[in-house]
Amino acid sequence: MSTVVKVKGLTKTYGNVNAIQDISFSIESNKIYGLLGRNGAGKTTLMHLITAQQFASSGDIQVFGEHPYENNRVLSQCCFIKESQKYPDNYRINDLLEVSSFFFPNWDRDYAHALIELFKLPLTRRIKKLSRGMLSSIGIVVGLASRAPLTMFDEPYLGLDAVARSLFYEQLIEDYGKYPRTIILSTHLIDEVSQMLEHVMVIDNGKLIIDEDADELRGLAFTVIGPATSVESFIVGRNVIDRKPFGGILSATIMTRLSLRDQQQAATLGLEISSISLQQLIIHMTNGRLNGKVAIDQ
Amino acid sequence: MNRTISVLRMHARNKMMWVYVPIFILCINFAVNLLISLLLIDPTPMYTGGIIQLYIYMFVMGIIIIPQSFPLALGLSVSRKNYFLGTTGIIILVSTAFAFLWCITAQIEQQSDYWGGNLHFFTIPYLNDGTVFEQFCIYFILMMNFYYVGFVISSVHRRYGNIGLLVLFTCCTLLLGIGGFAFYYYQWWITLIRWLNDISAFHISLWMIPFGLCCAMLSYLLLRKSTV
Repeated sequence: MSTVVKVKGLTKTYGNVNAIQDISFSIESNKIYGLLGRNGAGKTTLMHLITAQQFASSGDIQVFGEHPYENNRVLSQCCFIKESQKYPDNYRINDLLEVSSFFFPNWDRDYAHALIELFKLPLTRRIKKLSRGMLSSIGIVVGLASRAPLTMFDEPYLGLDAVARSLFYEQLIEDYGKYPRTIILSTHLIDEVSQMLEHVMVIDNGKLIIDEDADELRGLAFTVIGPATSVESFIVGRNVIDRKPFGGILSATIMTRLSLRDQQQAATLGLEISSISLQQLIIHMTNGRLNGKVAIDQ
Repeated sequence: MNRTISVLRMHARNKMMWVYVPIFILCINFAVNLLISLLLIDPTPMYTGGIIQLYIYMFVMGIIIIPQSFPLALGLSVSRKNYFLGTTGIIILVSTAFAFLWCITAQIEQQSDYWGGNLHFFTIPYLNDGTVFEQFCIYFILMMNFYYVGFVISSVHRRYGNIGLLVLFTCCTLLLGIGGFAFYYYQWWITLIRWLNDISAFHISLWMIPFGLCCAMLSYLLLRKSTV
């Protein structure tokens, strides 16, 4: 498995604001990455930097082993679909499809038209006149049909109804299965996409706070529910990230890997243990209780 | 090279802006002028210089082409260099086509005895002196210059935003003001007018090439550092 993106010490500042602060990570080929974080966390900026649409203040970015700036070998392999994409006023959907085919070497025309049918997009309508949901759909069509070795979707579902969103997820998984490639999905609808993510990166306040395999992450935190005293005795010395008392009952979320002994201990204390969703985990991690740092109790 | 041609084709998809609108403006303007010239009883020739409007149109195109197409080009993973070259390509194509069209229409105008109504729409004395090739060069170079002046203004805006534009216009106003005063004070204008009188429109257009090239180079340097 080769490295597609390698980022080292990346920082981007706008005036006094640090949009990205000293981020380092690498992205492997043929995996689906989730880039998660709250609004304004720095997800879009990061993707702009990877595709050299914006310039880093400091640090190094390597995409397919080279710097992406003005580099056609790199750029022709990247497709970045952003939520705020602007189009020429006179462009119709079919113009956009035609033009996209010029720039993406792996462009699949038939697939693009099949997706247009699927999302019920009017081919000859001006893009300017499309609704928010249709604009998102057109981005999805271009992103999927480009089959670029590195495809990035920045909040691709804005304005899309639940049916269209699930259509997108289905198509993404299906086409990814047929044509494996590296996909970065920036989103804050974490629960909807959590099942298909293979690797999760969480950005908060410009810092990368989680860069972990999705399966690893899922087994990282648990909620323990039971009588307050039993729960208290169980969680002593553990990394508790949330605690909710209901009368005599206490629900505590702990960040730890549970060993067999732990599970037996919980059973003897009459505690109920359930794993928490990725979304809950990330909410816990990014709501300030950890001061932007993740302490994983191994 | 391939991606430069792709950018050119991307612009060419927008036939409305590059072909239909300028031709529509030209036709309407010509029709109105022709009607007026036919209704005039006065036999003095009517010089409208109607083609000037297409230079203005080119200037406006230079300004709007960047906000219209630069974000899409970068969004489709085009490098700034390819964008600049492809955009230069389409403007060379369009300018060539229009310069060629005007050479033909100027000939028709002269052959048809000025549309039977003494209308000088495509031919203007001085501008249309010289061989057909020279006329072609004048049309072409003027259009490219008008376009690149607009393009460089737009590039400054893309790179430095509103403040950059404000600084640019302030500097231009100051330079023109000081320059104008110097021309008046040192009486350079007499020399300038004598010089302009001596040389042909073709020569002036040749002198405009370095100016156009400077604008083009400057806009390329600005776009290289521009973001979306």
